[in-house]
Order: sequence, then C-alpha cells, then structure tokens
Amino acid sequence: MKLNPATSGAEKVQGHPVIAENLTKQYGRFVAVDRVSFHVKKGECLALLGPNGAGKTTLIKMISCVYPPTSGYLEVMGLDPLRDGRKIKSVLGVIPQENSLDPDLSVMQNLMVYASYFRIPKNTAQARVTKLLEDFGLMRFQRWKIADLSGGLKRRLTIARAFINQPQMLILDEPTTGLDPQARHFIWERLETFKASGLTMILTTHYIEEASRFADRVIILDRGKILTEGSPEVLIKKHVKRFVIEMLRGDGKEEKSMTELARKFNADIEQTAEKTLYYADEGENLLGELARMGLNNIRLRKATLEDVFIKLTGREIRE
Amino acid sequence: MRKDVLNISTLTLLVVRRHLLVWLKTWPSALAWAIGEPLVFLLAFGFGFKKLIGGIQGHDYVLFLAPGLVAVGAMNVACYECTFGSFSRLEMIRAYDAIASTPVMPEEIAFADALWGALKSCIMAMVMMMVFAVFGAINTFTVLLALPALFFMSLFFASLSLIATSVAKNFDFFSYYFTVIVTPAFFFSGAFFPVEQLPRVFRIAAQCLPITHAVDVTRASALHGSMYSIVLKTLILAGVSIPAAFIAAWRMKKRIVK
Repeated sequence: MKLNPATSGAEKVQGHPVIAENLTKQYGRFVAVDRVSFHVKKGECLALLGPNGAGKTTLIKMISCVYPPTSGYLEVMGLDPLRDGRKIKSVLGVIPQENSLDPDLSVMQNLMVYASYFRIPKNTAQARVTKLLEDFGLMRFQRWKIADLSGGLKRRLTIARAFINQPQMLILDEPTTGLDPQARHFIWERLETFKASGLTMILTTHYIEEASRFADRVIILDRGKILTEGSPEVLIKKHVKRFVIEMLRGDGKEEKSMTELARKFNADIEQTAEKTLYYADEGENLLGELARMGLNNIRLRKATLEDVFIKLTGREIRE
Repeated sequence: MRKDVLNISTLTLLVVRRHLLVWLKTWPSALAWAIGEPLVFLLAFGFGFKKLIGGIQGHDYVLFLAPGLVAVGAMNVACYECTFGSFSRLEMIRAYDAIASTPVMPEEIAFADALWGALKSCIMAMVMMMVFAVFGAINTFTVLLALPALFFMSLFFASLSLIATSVAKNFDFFSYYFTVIVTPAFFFSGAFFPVEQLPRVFRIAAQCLPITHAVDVTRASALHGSMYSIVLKTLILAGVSIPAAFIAAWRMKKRIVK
C-alpha cells in the first residue's frame, strides 16, 4: 500500500507494529475511514473509541489484513498488508465483534481446526489448546457443542482462540459487548495478564471503563476521522475540566445565580434534556457554594473519558 | 489481499478438511436427503415407466435411468452445498470472517467451498451407486470410472452456485437460481430420456450443459460404453470446471473482502 512513498518514508518511525498515514477506506461512495494517521507502539494498548459507524471496525479490518485500504499508507508488523497479508495474519490474534465459532463442532475441535489454519503441528496445537482451555476456564466444556454454550462462554472461547498462534499483537473488536459483569471481569483479568506480559493491543469498545482500564492511549473517531488522541488523563485535561456537577433542572430560579457562580469558577455549562452540567476544575469549592445556596438535586463527580467522548461526538443518537 | 490477484495455497485443503469434519457430525441427515430423492425417482420413474417403455438404447429402462440419477444427484448435492451451505457459512454463522483473519486468504476459503462441493458430490455419488447396486439398477463396478467426470461436473456446478451465492442478498434469491438453472439442467440432462428425443433447440442447449456429458459418461461407465468417449468427455469437463472454480473464487473473494 505504498502509494506515496516519497512523503511517507521520511517521517516513518521504524519498529512500530502499526503505522498509518492518510489511511482511507471507501465503500463505493461512502467514506468509512477518512485520511487517518496514527501509529501503535510496541507493547502499548491503543483504544479506538467512537459512536456506531465511526469507522472503528473498518480500521481494524484493514489492520488485520482482511479489507484492503482504498488509499494512504499502512504498515503492520513492518510489512505491507497488500503484499504480505498472510505473513502478517500469522502473527496477529484477532477477536472479531461477532463470535463466528463453528456451531457444529465442539469447543476443543473449534480450537484445533483454527490451529490448523496456522499450520501449527498437531502435538503443539494439542498442548496449546489444553493450556488455553485451562486459562480461560473452559476445560470442563471441552466436549460441549457451541450451540449449548452461554454467551459468556462463547466469548471466552473466541478470545482463547485468538491466542492459539501466540500472537505478537492482539486486535480486540468490542471484546465484552453484551456480557454480564461476571463474564466481563473474567475477560478483563485475563487481558490484564496478557497486557502485563507486554503484548501490543488494539481495542475498540463502547465501554469507557474498559478503555480507561487498558488503554495507554486513546483515539476518538467520528465519521471516519480522528477527533483527538492521547492518554485518558491528558484527554480529560485537554477537553473537559476535572470535575462535573450534575443538577436536575428545577423551576429556573436558581439557574441565574448558577450561571454567575459558573462564571466565577470558570466552569463550562451544558444543558441536556433533563439536567444542567457544570464542568469545573475546582469542583469541591463550587459544590460548597451550591450547598450554601440551599440547592439539592446536585451531584459532584470526577470527569471521565466518557465526558470527553460526549463532548467531542455530541449527544445525538446515531442509529 | 489484493482484490484482483488470486493467492491459492495448500491451506485451501485445511478449509476443505473443516467442512468434512462438520459434515461428519451431521452426515445421517445429509445422507438420508441425498439418497432418498434419487431412490424415489428410481422407484417411481423406473417402475412407473418400465412397462410403458420397455427398453431404451437396448437396455432395460431401470438400467438406463440409474446412472443418470447418480449424475443429476451429484449435481444437486453440489448446487445445494454451494448455495444454502455457503451462504449460511458466509452470512449466518460467519465462519468465513473467522477464517479470513487467519493466514488463509479469502480466495482460498472460496476455492475450498468449490472443492468441497465437488468432493461431497462424489461421496454422495458413490453412496447412490451402492444403493442402486443393491436394487439391481447398477450391476457393474466399471461405473466407478465415472467418478472423475462426476467430480469435475460437480466442481462446475459448485462454482456456478458460488457465483450465484456471491450476488445473493438472502436465501430467497436461490429460488431463482434453482428454477432457472438447476431444475432445467436436472430434467434436460438426458438422465430420464435420451437427449436426442428433444427438439433441436433444446438438444443443442442440453449439449452445452456439463451435466449432459456427465450423464453420458456415467451411463457409458455403467453400461460398458465407449472408453474413448468417457476419457474425452472427462477431459472436457475438467477443462470447463477448473476455470469456473477460479472465477468462483474471484467472485466470492469480492464478496468476503469489502
């Protein structure tokens, strides 16, 4: 995919598992990913956040060498996905959004068949499968058919499957969407172990908690474009204030004095359907003043990545 | 991953192995379906027409009919496998999404489907031969000489079916494919009566269909026909079906890779 080697070669940093410059993907006329430039460093976890249809999955499909880019530069594990797709795919662990397990095969067979696509010798595969079944708590289900597994077990198996080739980079497309808290925490613990061992990870998620937990860096995407990029802490500092005060909208009497107060504390105000939100760095002091005014129905909390996300991508529902 | 280049290696065979493994789990129902229909045709047409027809081309009607049924049965297996089977793997269980993120390339997934369609048809053809032999409708082992021709004919129809699958939006689309292509091929293949009986236009159309030649080869193998024609027609079927398989792989690749 070296369409523009003259300009891209110079600033290219050697050794990054993923380097993308002006990467674009179009489906017919629709531009799913629009001139995106970023990189993933070795050993880091990069989270891609964005509303539905932002282009996260398309970006991931290009990195995992399934969809070819329309234009721009893309390098994965030092190789060109168009020419060396097979080689790149042999060192990636991919957890797709949908489980895509073989419903008629058993848990064990699912892993063994998947191992065969990597040409892993049978004995090696057998040993790795046993270890993965243990690690992911699937040992007692090894002979079960996929159709008989719960959603959480299927997801665990799909994640275990991605480790069969001992990948150098893990690509997770919404790994815990639709799972109950138990299953989600189980998966998070496993992933933390792998992250601690220095595995490079690219993660898309709708759970901001998941992103905050794993991501060294976050990219927020919308309509195919990168809106912002940085560590969770930096993004919060850059785009919102440290604290958020949420207040249910009352009869409007207090609104006026609130506005004055907000100006005093250099707070940003946002009106939603039900609430008024104040973003301020000195949240405690502001809260104290509000309490003195006799206002209740107010709540102080720390600003999170979710506030950044909402601020940048808006509150409107997308689909 | 280039859209216009086909990159096919022996990994294809591992995908065929996956299909075989899955099929071995569900073979009783698959076998019942594949044997049941030809057997019903054999009993109904064979014994229904036997008295009326007497003999065709110097053979008892049942002996004339059975090899033809094996050939059209094999064609049907390939057509069902590479429409309903492939579409379900593509869109319902999304097996191809999973395989495409391994070193297996999308064109290998598609090529494996065509090969598997042909292989499964041959397995079914052998089972039908055995069943017909039990009923006395096939009475020689030389019928096995037809297997290469049946393989290539099935590869052709598997490929054609995959091309249909590559443009299908849903399962309903296959009604058109079966009505317009598979059912006419089934009845005008010469399995039930000699193609020479047909009006000129139909006869020429029938001669253009690979199934007609596969019926000829299977019948010649079962009834000690000309060896020369068996070899020649097998080669022609190979020459037609191999390019078809590559076209199918290319079309399906475009469907999997967006």
